[in-house]
Amino acid sequence: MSIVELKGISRIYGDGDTEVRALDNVDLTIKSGEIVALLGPSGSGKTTLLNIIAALDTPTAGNYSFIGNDVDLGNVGKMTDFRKKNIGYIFQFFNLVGDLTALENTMLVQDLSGKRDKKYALELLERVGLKGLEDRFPSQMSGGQRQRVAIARALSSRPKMMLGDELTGNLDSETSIQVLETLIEICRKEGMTVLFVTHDRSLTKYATRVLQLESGKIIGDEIGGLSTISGQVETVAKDVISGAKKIAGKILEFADEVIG
Amino acid sequence: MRSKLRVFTVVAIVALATYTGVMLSEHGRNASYVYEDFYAETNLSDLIVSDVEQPRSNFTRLCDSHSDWNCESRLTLQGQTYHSSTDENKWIQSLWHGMEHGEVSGLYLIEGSLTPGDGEIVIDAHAAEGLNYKIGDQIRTIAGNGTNELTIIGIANSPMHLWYAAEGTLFPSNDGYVVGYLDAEYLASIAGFDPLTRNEMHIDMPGTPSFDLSETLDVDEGEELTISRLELVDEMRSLDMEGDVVDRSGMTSPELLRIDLEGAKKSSPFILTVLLLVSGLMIAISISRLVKSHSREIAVLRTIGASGKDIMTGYLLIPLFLGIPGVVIGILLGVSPIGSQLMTEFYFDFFGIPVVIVRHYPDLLLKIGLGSIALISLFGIRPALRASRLQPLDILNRTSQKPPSRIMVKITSSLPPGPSLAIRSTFRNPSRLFATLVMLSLSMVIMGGTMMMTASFEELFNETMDEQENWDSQAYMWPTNAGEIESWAQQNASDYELLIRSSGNATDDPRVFTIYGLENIVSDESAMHRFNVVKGKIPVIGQNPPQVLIDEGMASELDWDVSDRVKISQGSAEIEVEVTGIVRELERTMVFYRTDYSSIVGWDANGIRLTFDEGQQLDDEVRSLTSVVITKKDLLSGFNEVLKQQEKAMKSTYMIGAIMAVAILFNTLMMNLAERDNELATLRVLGASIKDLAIILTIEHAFIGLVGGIAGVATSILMFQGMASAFSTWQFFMPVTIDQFVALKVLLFIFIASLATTPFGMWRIRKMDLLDVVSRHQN
Ligand SMILES: Nc1ncnc2c1ncn2[C@@H]1O[C@H](COP(=O)(O)OP(=O)(O)OP(=O)(O)O)[C@@H](O)[C@H]1O
Ligand SMILES: [Mg+2]
Repeated sequence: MSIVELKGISRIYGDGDTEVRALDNVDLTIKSGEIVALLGPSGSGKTTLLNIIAALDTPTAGNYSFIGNDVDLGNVGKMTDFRKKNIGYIFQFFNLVGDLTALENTMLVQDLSGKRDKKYALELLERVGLKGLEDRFPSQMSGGQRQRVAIARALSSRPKMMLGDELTGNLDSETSIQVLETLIEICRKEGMTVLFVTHDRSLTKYATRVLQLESGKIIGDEIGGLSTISGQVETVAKDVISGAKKIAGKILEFADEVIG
Repeated sequence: MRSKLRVFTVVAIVALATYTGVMLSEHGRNASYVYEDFYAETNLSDLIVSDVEQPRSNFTRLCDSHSDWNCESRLTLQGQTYHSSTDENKWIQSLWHGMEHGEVSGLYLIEGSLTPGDGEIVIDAHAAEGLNYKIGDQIRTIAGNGTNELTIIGIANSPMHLWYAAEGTLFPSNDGYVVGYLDAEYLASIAGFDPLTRNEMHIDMPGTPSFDLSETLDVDEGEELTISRLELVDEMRSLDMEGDVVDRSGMTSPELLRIDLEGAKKSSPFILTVLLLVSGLMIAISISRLVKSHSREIAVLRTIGASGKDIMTGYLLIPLFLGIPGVVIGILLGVSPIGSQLMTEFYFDFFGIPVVIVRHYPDLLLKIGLGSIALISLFGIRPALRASRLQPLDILNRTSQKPPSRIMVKITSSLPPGPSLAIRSTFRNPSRLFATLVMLSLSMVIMGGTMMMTASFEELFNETMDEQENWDSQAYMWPTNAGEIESWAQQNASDYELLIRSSGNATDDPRVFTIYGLENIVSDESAMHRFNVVKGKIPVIGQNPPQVLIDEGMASELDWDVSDRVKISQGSAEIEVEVTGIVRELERTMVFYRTDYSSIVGWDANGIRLTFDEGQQLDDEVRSLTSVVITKKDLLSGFNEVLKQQEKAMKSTYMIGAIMAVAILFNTLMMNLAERDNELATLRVLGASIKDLAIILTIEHAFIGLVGGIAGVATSILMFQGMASAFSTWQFFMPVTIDQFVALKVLLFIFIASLATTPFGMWRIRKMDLLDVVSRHQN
């Protein structure tokens, strides 16, 4: 089942001599559950494409339908509503609210959509690896931790699709990998569709599909690392290892109790 | 766009401050010149001797040994003027000056001639305007002995009546009071006296000797004049004259105008300072904000070797950039036709004072301009210092804002994230919040303070002039006429009460108060006058010493209290009385029972208060027996007229305060938005609708409005108390009564003004560029 269907999308900035075709007649279909990495040189239109899918930007021409329904990209109120219902957005610079704790940041989005669920928020924070840090403020956390909060926040209202523009662009490579792994792991479990922009080709191994953009046109559409057998094995292995770790932990705890 | 608006707001407030400052101070100076010129032109007397009617020579002999004095005796009498207009015919309280040469306390000619002969009168310009008199008009008058038809031959102003208020009231009223200037001998003869009868002598001494101000009891500003005055009193006593000698502080109109001007002069630097403090604080928080948003650039500059001093200089210049244009605009407005000229003309038009020349004073403008810039610049120092002390590492490492304080978190942790965010972000910058509250309080010093003052005025006057008074008319007469008037009243009035009105002073204090001897002293509506007893109780009749009431102002100024036994002088007599109660009255008043008081003065009554049934009124017969007639209706309409004028003047003061408060709130809002647009845009991207953000902003501003309103009310009250005690003088005592309704109005004003700025915030949010934010650096 397709979730995103773009037909003939163009986004033109300026006119006459200064005209820039950021997107040039793009057709794109993304199926539900796909993890899409968007690659391309600087200025190729990646952000523009993402923003249109997020209903943050209005294309100059073309049609956008989401799960079979046309998205009205001319109406600010409807665009907001669409984002609230369907999109989880992760920023490159985290954009956490400095006055709110990790938990409050997470619940803020739930509150906006009127679906307050503290239990789920806590669960998400645990799943992104922030158990115990729920009451920290953004300034009291590292970049990686902040981006994890941002992920929990984006997930907290159970959106259908997650979008991230260079969401690891501001993190070192090791942290990038951890953060992205966390995101992908949760999204796969929840069956969520993901589209993330990246400059780092090595990160395409976390995608089921890799799109190549250049000069506003999609010039490549490949299968990503995740959909390969090795990729799948890797995830399974990881699950096993983490399961084993958990069991080992339990055994150690038990041993502690017995000895102590 | 946003910072342009903010610059505009700051410049506008500085301009408003300077404009107001120029207007007030130039007005103060122009007004003193107007009075000085006018008194010089008309040769206002330095001393006035007054006594009961007696031969002219009794007065002139006092000048025999002073060849350098210019002395002119005069006959001044109370009277009435008949006025008929389309809607009513009435007798108007009047005052007649029988003048000799008009060289001392002379007249300023507006139209016609200044030398009335028999059957002729010069009318004061105020009355000519208020009652529409023209040269050649005939008026019917009473001067204590039957009626006379007089022809108006001139219209003039007198230095004694620039503040055109009838005796017994403080309120100028052009259509409720007639002052006329006649030939002294002619006035004496129509009043039934010998033509050479006089009761006053005006003395002009060489130069303009300073006189002793009435409110500075411990300092004598005019020693030379005081000596002459006391010598004259001694001489009078030795000649068996009982009367009095006053300097200019004892002449009602010059003294009231002086006090009024003094108030204006004292308050103008104060108002200017308050306005400048607000401007300065506004600039200070703007610079702090600027420093904050520049912190990265500062860090970079410091890293590449800029010194703290280099950075500081830059920020120190900002107040000048904002201040100089503001000050220049303010001064230009101040000297423009809508500046001090408008103010001075409005003011003198209100008092009906002629010869108004509005000048501008470069020295004053320079002082205000430089002073303003200097004061404003001080406010740039702190943020500039902070900028210079920023260390590169502090800034570059601090990628995110500080978390809110623990207490804040505790208080708000149980709230949903939206409201909790609203409250925490309000307190995110406590020093700015504090500055906002201080600024709001300062603006309310001006607006709330005057509002409370005005409300209190109104309340005081309504109470003392209307609610406490149950008579329709009051008349004063010679004690010898009292019997005749009483028998008239028995036939022609529904009720009446005889009374004695006189004056006296504390034996150790020269300030004069009114003494009443009343039939009934009550605190309910069962008599002609209801006393509002604020402390103590109603006196008991026939005690020794006699028991009396005194008014609040007297109690406060003379430091007298309930159950004190005090000594008063009345003429040459000294009397001991016991104070049993303190009452609220407009005038400084002491109240006896009439029988107690009549045994002191030696006669029964010189006044009467009357109530009338439908169709009853004072007729011409009884009028000719009285000297002063006051009808409550006229008194109130005159008062309401003044109140309307007063309100007009006050409104402009409110406006200044209101404009400032709105500008402050607006500035706070813009700061708030500038600082948080990234955060707000993030929320928008995450699906917050404009309405969701509106709620957050509204909560924040409701909170600022509420706290600001409370702070504003508190400072308004403090200000009002300060103003009340500063304005209170012997003549006019202002009790401090806080009108809760006005307090509520001040609170609501700030609250609503604060909320009213949020639509602008929404407009800004609507215009916010979300795409810009998703890829921007911050947090
Ligand atoms: N607001 C704008 N006004 C004019 N041109 C714009 C605007 N935003 C983007 N563009 C242009 O549109 C083109 C596509 O921009 P876009 O931001 O989508 O590129 P990108 O692939 O995300 O680049 P990067 O990897 O550097 O983030 C670029 O040429 C850019 O200059
Ligand atoms: Mg981009």
